[in-house]
Amino acid sequence: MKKIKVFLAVLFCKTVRFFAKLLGRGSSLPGALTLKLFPNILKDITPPEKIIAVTGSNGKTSTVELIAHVLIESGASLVYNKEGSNQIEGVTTMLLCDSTLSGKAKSKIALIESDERFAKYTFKYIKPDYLFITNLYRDQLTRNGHPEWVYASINDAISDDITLVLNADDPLVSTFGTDRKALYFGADKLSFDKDVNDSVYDDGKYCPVCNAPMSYDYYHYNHIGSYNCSKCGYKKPETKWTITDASLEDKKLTINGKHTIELSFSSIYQCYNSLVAFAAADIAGVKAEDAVKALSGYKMQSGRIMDFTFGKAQGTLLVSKHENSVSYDQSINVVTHDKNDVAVLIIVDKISRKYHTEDTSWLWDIDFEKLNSDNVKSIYLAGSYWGDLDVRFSVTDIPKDKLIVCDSVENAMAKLKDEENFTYVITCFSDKGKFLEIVKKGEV
Amino acid sequence: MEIKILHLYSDFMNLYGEYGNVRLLTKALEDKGCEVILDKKTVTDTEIDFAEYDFIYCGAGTESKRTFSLNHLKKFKDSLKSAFDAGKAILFTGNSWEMLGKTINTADGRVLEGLNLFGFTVKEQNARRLTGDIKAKADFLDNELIGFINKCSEVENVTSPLFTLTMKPESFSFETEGIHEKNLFGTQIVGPVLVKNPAFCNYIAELIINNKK
Repeated sequence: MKKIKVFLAVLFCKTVRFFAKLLGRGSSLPGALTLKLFPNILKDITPPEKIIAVTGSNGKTSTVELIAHVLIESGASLVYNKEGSNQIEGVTTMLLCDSTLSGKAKSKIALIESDERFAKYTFKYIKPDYLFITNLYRDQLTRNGHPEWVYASINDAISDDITLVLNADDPLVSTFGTDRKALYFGADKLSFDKDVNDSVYDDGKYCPVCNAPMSYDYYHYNHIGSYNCSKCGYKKPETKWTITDASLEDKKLTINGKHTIELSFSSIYQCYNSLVAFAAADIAGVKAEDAVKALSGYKMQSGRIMDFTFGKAQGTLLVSKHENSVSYDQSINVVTHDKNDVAVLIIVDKISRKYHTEDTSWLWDIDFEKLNSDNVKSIYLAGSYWGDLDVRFSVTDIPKDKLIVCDSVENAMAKLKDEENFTYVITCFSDKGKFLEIVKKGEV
Repeated sequence: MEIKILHLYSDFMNLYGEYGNVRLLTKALEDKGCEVILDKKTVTDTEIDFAEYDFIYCGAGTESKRTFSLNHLKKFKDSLKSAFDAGKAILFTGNSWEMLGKTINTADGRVLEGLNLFGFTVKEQNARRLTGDIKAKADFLDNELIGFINKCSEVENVTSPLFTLTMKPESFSFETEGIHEKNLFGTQIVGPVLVKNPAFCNYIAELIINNKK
């Protein structure tokens, strides 16, 4: 009976996937329909021998892309949710389409990107051997509540048989490892670290364990760094995989003092993503030299950084995430570290692709103050939320004559056409389409 | 005119950019010719005298941080009560206003004693977050208020709500929200509510100035 059920479910899922692909539909639908007919099907299949999962607020998709690249380069037999459908439906599609009709996985390793709020459903039947948690930030709070709320949700997904692989530099994430099987990754003090957290908010000020004030030896960015609690002694755990040296100018990082990776795009994020990929490769049995070789010079496919030309304007699109201040802060960091004079265009037109909200409180968590930098010559603010951007910028010390407020993306583009400085465009997935469409047309 | 503002627990009851309220109100007061002095007090402070201030503000935090601030604020509840009785302008947004009632039943089954300024009770759960954009009508403002609510609690026995909801998500079972007594305003709207509602911001600024005259 079970055999027939598995046979039908796999066949059904593969068939739907085939037609869904023809119709240009995503990878979530086949799994969703299969789960409607066979709700507990994940319990009855034989998954790959080794399962590695990745969750957290930021960097899931990029990290999974990098890990997959390293494993595939080293010849591993791998299945992963390439299209980023990271809830149980997408994972079901991925596993069933990788199965024989008797329900046995064809691949030896499964790499699962998992939405942080839905991990508890996905992991009910498919238990990862290793679960990476990248970070927990203020991210999409209109649906996620807040980081501690997400923490509780991930906590429900963790069982004793999972080995956790945690970001030691994130004080909230590292506490998942208390009294559990856990390995840690992180970065030692780096040349660009800071002694103080100069962001508009500080989620590392108080100990996540006992609420007493914490002190930091150094901050890599925001509240990510080396912390220790003045009262209970909770501190950054020892790391197994460590960035011992990194230079954003020379675009390289060194892991565990001896493995140096050349980066194609230099950001602290890319350093962490590469570190996680190195650790995952180590866990999967890939030799360190092979991992370094695969990671060096690798260009991300996920399209978060794109060059463009529009009229006189030339620049780079830095895809950031609305409702995620750390992601914006990273983009601002790229802008202010450019040694040349630059312009910036910030677009907030639609807050989310997936749900409707008009909440713009997250704009107040972004370090826009830092754009008050000599190299930033003009700042275009655009999109249907131009008013919210305008008020937010009005409380910064940025000189008013640098601000160009435009009531639509089109109007901003009409002005941008004559921009002579290199231009960084900072916006979200939900708004990049509108921008790129105008760029493609070449005119407004 | 010199106006003294107290921002309570600005370092962690600031989950959704609530400091924006203080920045905008400061700007509004300055535009009206006031000189604004901003003071911040947090859990490491051992003395707070609310009588010193013309306006007292507190924003939203996580549930655990709310408990953390409640435990600290209890030490100064008599001073806060006197400030409220004296008609000081006070604004508590997000879950911070829920500290002002009788009790809070937390999701993990504890009963926390509130600051007892009012008789309402709060019940929290951890199964579902109630979130969504709202519009509301308050009797002291011509314009509708807009905002976003992000909470996991229900409040009972509020005798004088701040406003009546005119638009809300289906998941919200309540028709009225917040509290308004004397010159104290409490609302579950998170984030910079005064930024989105210039008329409310102006109303509070006028109130502060008239109180001082």
